Amino acid sequence: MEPYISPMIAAQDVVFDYPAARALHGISFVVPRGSVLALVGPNGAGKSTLMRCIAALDRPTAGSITVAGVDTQEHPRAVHAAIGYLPDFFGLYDELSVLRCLVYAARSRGVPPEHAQDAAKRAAQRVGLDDRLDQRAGELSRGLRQRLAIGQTIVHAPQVLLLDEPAAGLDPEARRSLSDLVKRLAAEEMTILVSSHILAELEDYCTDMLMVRDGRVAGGGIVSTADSRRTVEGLRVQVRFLQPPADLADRLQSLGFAVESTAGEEAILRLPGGPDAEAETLSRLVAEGLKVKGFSPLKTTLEDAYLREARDGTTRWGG
Amino acid sequence: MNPEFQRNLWLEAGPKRLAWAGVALLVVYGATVILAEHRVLNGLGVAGVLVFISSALIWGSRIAGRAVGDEVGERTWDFQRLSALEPWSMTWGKLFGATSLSWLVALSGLFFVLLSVFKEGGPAMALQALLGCAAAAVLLQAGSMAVALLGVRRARAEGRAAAVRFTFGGVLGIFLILSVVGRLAPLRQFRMGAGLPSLFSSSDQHWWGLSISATWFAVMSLAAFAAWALVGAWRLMRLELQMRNAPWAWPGFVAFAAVWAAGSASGAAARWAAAGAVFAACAYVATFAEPADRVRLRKFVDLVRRGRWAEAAFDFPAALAPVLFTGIAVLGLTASGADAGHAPSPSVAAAAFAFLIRDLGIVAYFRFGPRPRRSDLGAVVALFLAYFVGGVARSALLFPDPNAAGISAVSGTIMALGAWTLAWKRIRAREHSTV
Repeated sequence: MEPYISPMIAAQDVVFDYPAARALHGISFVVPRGSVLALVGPNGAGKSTLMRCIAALDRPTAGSITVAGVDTQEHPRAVHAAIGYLPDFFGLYDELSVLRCLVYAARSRGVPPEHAQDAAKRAAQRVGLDDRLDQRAGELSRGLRQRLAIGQTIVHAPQVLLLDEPAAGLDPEARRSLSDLVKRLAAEEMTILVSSHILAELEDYCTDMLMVRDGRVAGGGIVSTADSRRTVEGLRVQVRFLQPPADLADRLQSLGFAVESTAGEEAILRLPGGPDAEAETLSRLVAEGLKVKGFSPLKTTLEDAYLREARDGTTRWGG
Repeated sequence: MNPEFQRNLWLEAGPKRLAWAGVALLVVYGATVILAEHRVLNGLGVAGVLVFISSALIWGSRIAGRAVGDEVGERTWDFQRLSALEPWSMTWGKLFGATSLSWLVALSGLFFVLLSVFKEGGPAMALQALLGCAAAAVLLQAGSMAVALLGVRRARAEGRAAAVRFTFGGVLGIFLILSVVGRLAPLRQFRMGAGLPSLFSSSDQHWWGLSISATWFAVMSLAAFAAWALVGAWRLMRLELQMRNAPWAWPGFVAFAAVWAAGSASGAAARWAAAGAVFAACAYVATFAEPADRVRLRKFVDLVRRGRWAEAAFDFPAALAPVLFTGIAVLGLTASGADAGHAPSPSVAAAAFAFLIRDLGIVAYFRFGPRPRRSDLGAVVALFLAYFVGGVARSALLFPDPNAAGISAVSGTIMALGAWTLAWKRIRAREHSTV
């Protein structure tokens, strides 16, 4: 029996209406404590609206959301205290120094005056800005501004961090830095929800994934990113044969394998799920007299899974 | 120290800005001393008035409005809305922090004003000047902030970016328009004009049977309205911080304004008429000022239908209270009996009430339409045309005609039903597409 992990975010039948359009159509999901959830979906899918509802900045038309056990509609201020939220388009007080930005953030987020300086310096250290405390925010590069903004959102040590498209517009070095920072925060058991179009980065640090499409949960709900790479189509492996038979594809199919493609001495097979699938496949191939000289699982990235879902919209990602 | 106040001090009252302000003031007062020759104190008093007006009333109210608008424009508002600060701390920290430099400059002007007034009229007059100046500044600044907060809410509901460029002009405009409107002959006839115009009157005021010096009446009125402006800014800040407001502040203000205006009228009928006019004006203001959020309105109607009054109270439409109060004023007017020459007859009041409901229906129809951005202008044009056509036709069917009030009342009621039927159709239209 798996240990029970209390949910940090729970959404139930969330509906959100703008004056001219419905943005969310009854979304439900649960995010376990300590997970790093990738919120993915095409533009206009409702990701930002969903994040704003979770952050208790917008009130859903119907349904409920709890964050750290607190209802966002009943006690929005308690939710604000429990979270850090970085919107996709954020601003900074450009005329203030990095230290003053962080001290103000700490004080305004409820850190007592006597601890505000320490909290600010600690946050600066966590985001790698401790050597720029006296620099004006307006003088920072885009990547450093992003770090300062994240520093402001974590200065009060929130339980939940919501990052809306945090990597947008960052150069590769800044993205790597952001990725490292999220990993460090995740290691401190902060529950993190990240929306992004750059799925390759989410791969590095996300433990779970939720796809939203047209204001609805797509792909069957939250799945572990590890599971998402094992789609219902199975694990993909590339097999290279020594002196393969001319009718390699037919031969493999007659053995019951799902053959994705064959080319020369190579074949790509889809294996069913399960921990022993790879070992069993290899032993069967050898037992049938096929000379295997190479056998390597192919990684299915989040992007592959996302694109597959985006293409046919009906694929379920395990879970 | 309040962190919001502290942050604003860092930004607005840094050493460089203080130094520049000091230099500018030295130039102004130095030039005044040189030019005034033998009447230095009088000259400094005049300079002080100009400095105070330009700094506290004009510059200060502009900054107070921008204290919110700039946060929205620079995308720091969401961060502020997540703040742990209490709404009142956020309100006063922003209001007096953002205007800190303008207050410092204004205080220098006020100092010379008080010195001059003290010399001419003694301590009582100096106290009046101090209270009056401070109240006027707070009224305009807090009013400007409240209008900016309203603008942010309206923009969010209408799915557009908030614009605050007209905030100051709007507040000042309302202030001046109300001052002038009260002097108009038709209102003077009902002796309800003793409100704002009395701020500029020199004779004693008779208010609810009390005889009060005009200056003190003006000072106390300004102070009271300044307090209400602060309450308004604070209540709107609560909404921005996602707190829910029990519906007492706006109805309280409406009732206060009516009592204040009615106090200067003579006779029960005239008082009911004055109160009714204030209620009706507040209903128009509320209809235009409140965000056109049909989702919230539908929710309110749904809760009322299900009898969940306590929950519905939080979504109470702002126009509802003044409309109900107007109805009560019409009943009061009827009960008190018409006092020809001082108040409209009950039938005229009833007709005017029906036309008020019609007008609000027309405004709602436009504001809940598919293009909320142009709705205000559309509603104003529609109302203008409705009354213009009625005026040209001189038909009791199209405007509340005192000579055929019964016909006007019936016609107004039928038009009100039509307008609200159309408006409700728009309000209840469901959203289906995804943004």
